[in-house]
Amino acid sequence: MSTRVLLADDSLLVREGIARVLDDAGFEVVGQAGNVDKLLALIASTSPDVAIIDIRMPPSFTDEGLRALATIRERHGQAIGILVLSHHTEAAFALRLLAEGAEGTGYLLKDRVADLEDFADAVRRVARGGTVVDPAVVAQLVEAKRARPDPLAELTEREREVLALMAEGRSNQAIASRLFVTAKTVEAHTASIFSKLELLPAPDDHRRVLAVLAFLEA
Amino acid sequence: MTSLLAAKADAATAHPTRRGTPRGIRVSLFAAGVVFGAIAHVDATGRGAATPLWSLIVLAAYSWAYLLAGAIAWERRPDSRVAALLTAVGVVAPAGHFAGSALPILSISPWIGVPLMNVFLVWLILAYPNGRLRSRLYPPLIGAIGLSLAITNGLVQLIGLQVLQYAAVVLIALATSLLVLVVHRWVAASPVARRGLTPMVVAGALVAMLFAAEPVSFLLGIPIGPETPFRWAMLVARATVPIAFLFGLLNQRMARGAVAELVVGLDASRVGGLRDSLAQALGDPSLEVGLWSAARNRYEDADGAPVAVPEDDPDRGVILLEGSGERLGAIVHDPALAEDPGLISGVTAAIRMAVDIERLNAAVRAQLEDVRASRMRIVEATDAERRRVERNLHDGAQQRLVALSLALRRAQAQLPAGTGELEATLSGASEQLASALAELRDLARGVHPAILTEAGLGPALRSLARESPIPVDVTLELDDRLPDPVAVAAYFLAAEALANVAKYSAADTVTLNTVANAGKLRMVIVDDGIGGADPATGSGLRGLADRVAALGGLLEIHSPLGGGTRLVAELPFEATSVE
Repeated sequence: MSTRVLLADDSLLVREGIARVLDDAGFEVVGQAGNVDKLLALIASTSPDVAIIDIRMPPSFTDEGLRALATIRERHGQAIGILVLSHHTEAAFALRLLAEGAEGTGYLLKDRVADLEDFADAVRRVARGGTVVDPAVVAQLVEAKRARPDPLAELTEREREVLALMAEGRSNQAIASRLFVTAKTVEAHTASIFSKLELLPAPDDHRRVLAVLAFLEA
Repeated sequence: MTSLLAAKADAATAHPTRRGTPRGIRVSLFAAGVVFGAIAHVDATGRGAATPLWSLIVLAAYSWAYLLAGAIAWERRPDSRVAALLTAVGVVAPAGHFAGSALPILSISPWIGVPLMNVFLVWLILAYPNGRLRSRLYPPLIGAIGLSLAITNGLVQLIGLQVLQYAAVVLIALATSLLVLVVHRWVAASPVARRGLTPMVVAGALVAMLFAAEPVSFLLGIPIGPETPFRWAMLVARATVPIAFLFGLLNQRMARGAVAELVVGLDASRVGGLRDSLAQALGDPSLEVGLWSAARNRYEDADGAPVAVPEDDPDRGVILLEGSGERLGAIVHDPALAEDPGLISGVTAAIRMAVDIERLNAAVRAQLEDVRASRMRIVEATDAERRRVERNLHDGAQQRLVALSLALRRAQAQLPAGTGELEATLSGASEQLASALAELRDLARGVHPAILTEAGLGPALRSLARESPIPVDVTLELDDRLPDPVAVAAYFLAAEALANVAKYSAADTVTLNTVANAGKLRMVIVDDGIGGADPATGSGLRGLADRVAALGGLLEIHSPLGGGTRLVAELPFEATSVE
């Protein structure tokens, strides 16, 4: 059974474009909303696996998407995955978003929808309850951290790669396949990273994302 | 420009107009007095060695002192009765020296001249400073003194000095009366009047004692004839009168000087201060200043209490202040102040200036307020415009480019196999589009950072610090919710400063410290670079300085060569505590 997706974006052009690429990639687009009210109504009536929401929507075009997310979480808990599309690489937005609960939540730059495979992968991960953080946001955090008296200096090159992938919300399995190593190797890396950065080991992937992001953002 | 509103004093209430003595008559009298004195001089010299030269000079100088004082008084006020009396004394005084003259007509002149001179002298003492005899007792006393002296002189001439022992009782009584009246007048006077009277009272008391001294000295056997020390003492005592008059003038000069200082002191003072300044400058503690309240149709003091402004009260003088035909206020003062019209006009001028300055100040303040408000509106309009542009970039261009990139990617995906060249072209276009989107995002962020609006100044500053290629040590204490213009100004200041540090300073570290509490945001950005930054040459910082100024804030940049750069900005705001 294909993943059921609901789209919310005030631009019809973008909605249609995303709907087509998702359709091509085998997703089922169950509805499209141009504003928050319509989005909330469709969530209730279609119960999608994932809602892809533009962070800026009418009427104020600021953070309607984030507020819609809070409402959805309040009404439906973590049952519905939510991928927020944003124009901003600001880590503050991503952290604010994940603060509502990292499980089944993603923050992606809107440009990313054109990278069809990455985008489809992100939608699937969120649908499965995973966490997604845009690589550009993570890269910005890592870079900023490295410019300071660098706590990341102690990490090996490979460990830094693993750290970034953890921050993007990827599981050990996913990291392993991306780096062409075994899951055990990744586990060793993560343990090493946590001990070097003096972070407390996180019990699950979502909290691991938050812990790593919080470390990078500080 | 606001027209200057002139406050003018209605001095007429304080000074009933008197017709002045024509200049011709004044000059003639002066000349006559001088000539008369000179004749007395020559005449006495002709009588031989009995009169030494120096005594003659003293005699002439004594009468001329009166003439001179009279001339000065008349120049100041042609209607002055005091001036007339001074001149009269000066004209008549030489008559006393013709006693024993070879010319028979002149030899009788002391009989009339000396009593007449004393009449003028006593009149002058009692009428000083305004020329009016305020007590009913004065005219009979003056008359009695004149008559007694005339009779005594006549009898002395006819019978001899022994007459004085009989006249003594009368003269001592009259002298005592004069002394009592002079002292009483001083005691009864208001503080202001007393200040003016003092020199003349001293002179008057001396003169009164001399009237008594002549018969007393005679009875005691002290010689009182011409050229005796007694005569000289008499002359010196009488000479105190013109000297006292000149002292009085000096006093007025000093009061006017005080008024001149008042002009300087007035600009900062308002009504309450005005009253105190005036009272001090004029030496009149009873002085009141009332400002006209059209609403309550009365004069009020600084505390809003009514001030009584008498219409026609001989005990109070009033200066009415008017500007452009409307009532402004009134000064109620001791009438003795009116003796010097220059003082009143000085005060009026001072107050007119104060009123003008106050009005100009108000106009300037109002204009400044307008300019500040409009500058603030410009800043707000600029911010709103930037926000609109940013929104349009995101919701217009960026959305279209995203849709376009989706379409391109789909087209790439749908390409049949074996179209490598087209595939490469589309792929290149996609990459270009991705760069365009990234650039557009940076541009929009530079126009107006969304994070500032949506997350506040703290996260926005941290985000800025994160982007800086030089490590930034950030300390934030943002207790208060900041108004948008302040947050925007602080953000762009930090953005510009950090960009400059990155570009020019060659610094190793930067600290950014921002504290906002108690209605003031203070941002300090310090780097350890090469210094030498000149805010005048950087258009970016100059524009920000304007923005800071529009918000009523301060911007200081300290950048000695080789000593790093320190930027301090302070922005005031109306504090609203965070819920």
